[in-house]
Amino acid sequence: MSFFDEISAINVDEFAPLVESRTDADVERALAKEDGLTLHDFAALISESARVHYLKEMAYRSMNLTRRRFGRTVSMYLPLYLTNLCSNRCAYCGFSTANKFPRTVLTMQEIEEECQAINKLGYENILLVSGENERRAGMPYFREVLPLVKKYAAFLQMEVQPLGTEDYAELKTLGLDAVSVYQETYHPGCYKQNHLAGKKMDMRWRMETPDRLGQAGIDKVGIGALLGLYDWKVDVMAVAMHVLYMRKHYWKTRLSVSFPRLRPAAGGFQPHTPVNDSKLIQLICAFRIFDHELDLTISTRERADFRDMIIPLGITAVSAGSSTEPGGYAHKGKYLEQWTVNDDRSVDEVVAALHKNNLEAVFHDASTTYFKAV
Amino acid sequence: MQIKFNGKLQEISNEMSLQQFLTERGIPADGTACAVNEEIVAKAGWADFMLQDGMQVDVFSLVAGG
Amino acid sequence: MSEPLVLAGQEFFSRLIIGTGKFASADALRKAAQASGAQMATLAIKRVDTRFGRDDIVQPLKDLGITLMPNTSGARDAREAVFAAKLSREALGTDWIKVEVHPDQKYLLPDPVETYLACKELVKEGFKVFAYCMADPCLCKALEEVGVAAVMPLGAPIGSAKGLETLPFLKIILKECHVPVVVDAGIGSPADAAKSFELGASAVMVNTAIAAARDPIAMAKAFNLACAAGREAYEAGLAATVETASATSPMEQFLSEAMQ
Repeated sequence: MSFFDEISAINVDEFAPLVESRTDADVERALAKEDGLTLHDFAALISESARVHYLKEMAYRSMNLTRRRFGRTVSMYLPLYLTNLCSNRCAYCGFSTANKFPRTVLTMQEIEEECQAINKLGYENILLVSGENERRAGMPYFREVLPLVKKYAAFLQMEVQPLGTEDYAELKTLGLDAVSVYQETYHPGCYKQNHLAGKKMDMRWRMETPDRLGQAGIDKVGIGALLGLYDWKVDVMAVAMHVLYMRKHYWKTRLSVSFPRLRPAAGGFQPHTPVNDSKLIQLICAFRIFDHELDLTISTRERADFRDMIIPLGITAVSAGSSTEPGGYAHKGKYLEQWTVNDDRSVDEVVAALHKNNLEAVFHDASTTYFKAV
Repeated sequence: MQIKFNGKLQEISNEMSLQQFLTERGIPADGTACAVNEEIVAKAGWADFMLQDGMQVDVFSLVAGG
Repeated sequence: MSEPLVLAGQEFFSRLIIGTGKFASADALRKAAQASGAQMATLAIKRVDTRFGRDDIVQPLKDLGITLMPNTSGARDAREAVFAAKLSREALGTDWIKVEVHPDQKYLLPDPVETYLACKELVKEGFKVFAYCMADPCLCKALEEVGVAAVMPLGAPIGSAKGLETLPFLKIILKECHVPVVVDAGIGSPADAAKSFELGASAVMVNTAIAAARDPIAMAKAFNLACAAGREAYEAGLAATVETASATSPMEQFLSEAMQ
């Protein structure tokens, strides 16, 4: 049974009243546990009761757990946008087919220039990002791109269209370490409303991607929901349920969770249910207390001052100096960016801010493979 | 002819089935397993299994143990 | 009433498995088994020694309604264990088998590699396999993946009565394994059994602590009670201590605002 089958058996809308009805006693019970928190405990941790009465306690717990598990380090990654071509029409995304702007797919030459620019910034942990375009940025393209990028990346991540198990297994042999596929929303109705054209309309195919990644033996898998697209309580609970599922079925797979909040993008889409700063802090702490080993990621979508405050609470990976336009590191301003970067500080400034918090930025997040993959 | 029974040589008469051999030694079928030349012989096959010279017969049963 | 234990599709109301070795007589074993309330007991399969009359222990245990779990003790490698399992199936007509492989006869420590190979083969042959093994989380996961009915990690060297010496590893196994976990070997006192259940064990296996007690029957009863208490405590949900927050200035301010 895949995760899609599991979650389809329940009505995810029932998560909202579950979270809303959690009491102080529920929060205390959840906080009293050292380990093995249930989905009900998690609901308590993201409830209003928890925010109003226990947020400080949660924050210190989360900080301690993070330092115990990850030490005083934060790993640094940088996205490399391969293309803004996309055959999907998603209501919230700047790359949507509904928006008219110049499209490009980076050539090998351009990618090499980007990689060199990224290395120059000090990064060896590269996240390849693309719109979803099977024809021009599908497996044949990735087969060319990965060996090239691997020359510049000690740790290679991807955030592209969902692929099949065998494709992932093949990309693993080309150096792929981690893959993120965000579900955007776990609510079937809302998913349908926001995904209007393209392969992304197939909710099952997307939601079963982490299963396929686990089966393909990819070292690290990233999941998450686009906060604000639907009722965040529903989606965040679904992510927690997904975490439990992945832990149960793929014990060798490392997991990461991201907290993308909807940002204004080309097309004028506005968040439906915004997640405010207080809530985001609470969510980070709740995930850490729920699962001590999770990698928690925060991008440059968030403001600089806010990032500086939340990173010590439980975040383990951040980007800095990011560009969300294809070719943006070597030749800035040529193409449309996917979304607006909110923390536009340089790498050095972010590293200095981490130091102030007594945290070390790690740029070389070594791949965990001992043998060259066969 | 001679067979090896639980590691010891024993003289037995010719034309003896495994069933007869076990019955003569008061070994009940219940709770017993028997192997000839390290191959288990199912109880249903004991009566038809004729012992031959040099065979190794091992008989096992359940005993106390943790 | 506690939740019943389901092992290999069978339901049990007692979570204590007793070993039948080291008792003074078949009668002493029968009485202790009865007092323990156990519904499962392990037995070994050995060559028949026709020089002595047989002290039949199978029938008395069966009469008590106890499910018999033969083991492969004495097996030094996977091949011997598989052979012993097939002998047990032939002798008892059960497909249950507790796999024990110990190449050394001094400590009787389970060999992880041979145990794994034996379990894999026996699962393929249709046995309900109970794997006695080191408290090694990776091994337990690997055994789970080949399809054993339960893993039986040891708490301490067998017969040592040292209790849960492997505690940190047992905790990981209890957290990560999705097949029943039976804490086996080393349990010295009823408190060790209760502790195992509080941590989430599905069952415990006890032999020496009962058989070697001054009064085995009374000790069997004590284990019966301890197992029930430990399990009930687990199901009731233990309250745990909460660490308190310690304040630092800008973060404290930031969090205070977030709580408004």
